[in-house]
Amino acid sequence: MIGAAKRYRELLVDLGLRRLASGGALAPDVESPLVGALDRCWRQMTDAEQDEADRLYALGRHVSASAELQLEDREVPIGGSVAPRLAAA
Amino acid sequence: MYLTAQRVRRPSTGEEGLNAYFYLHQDLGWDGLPPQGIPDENPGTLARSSIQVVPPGNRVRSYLDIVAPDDTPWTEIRSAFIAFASDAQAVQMPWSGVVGRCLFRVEMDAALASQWQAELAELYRVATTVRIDG
Repeated sequence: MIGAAKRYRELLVDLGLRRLASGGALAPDVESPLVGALDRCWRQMTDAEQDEADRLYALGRHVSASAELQLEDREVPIGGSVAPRLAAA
Repeated sequence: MYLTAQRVRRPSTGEEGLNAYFYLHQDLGWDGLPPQGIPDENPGTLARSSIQVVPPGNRVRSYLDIVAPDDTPWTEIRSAFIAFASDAQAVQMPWSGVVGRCLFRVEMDAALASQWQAELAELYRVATTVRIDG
């Protein structure tokens, strides 16, 4: 079903944010509807969409990034109009 | 509105923490992409900040940028952020994307990227704490 795969990914992110905000675990009455919605989306997805979701989940656990960002912060007073980071010297 | 949270480390001591900044653009509104120059050349006017490690000169290890018109409801930003994060994870950092009238940018070093979900959620949490409701 078109839209179920995207909704599934969004629900996963939503669930992660809520878990972190609550210190790691959600109350059952909060988590159950989300997990139920995830399950419904999963069942509406095609085999190809489920495979893609699994692939993205695996990829998402190994995101590529630079070893170190070439950025440093700077002081910004209240009322200031410069960004709080710049290229490292 | 430019809301940003960044994890910084003081090179001399290794002290590390999360700093967050909340800028306003006053009456400047837009749909879709923000006007050119926002946020890098025109971050707006700093209205509030939350500082754990005092700048300047700290190395930036990660950041989350959120740009949206000042009057954007947080429910709209949150929904857009979830849509952005759910699509971004398949590509290499830095991540950048526009959802509706919200712009998001995320980058972190490789050590943090290995646990990017937790880091992104932490940056998001800190960003929400410094925001001033309109």
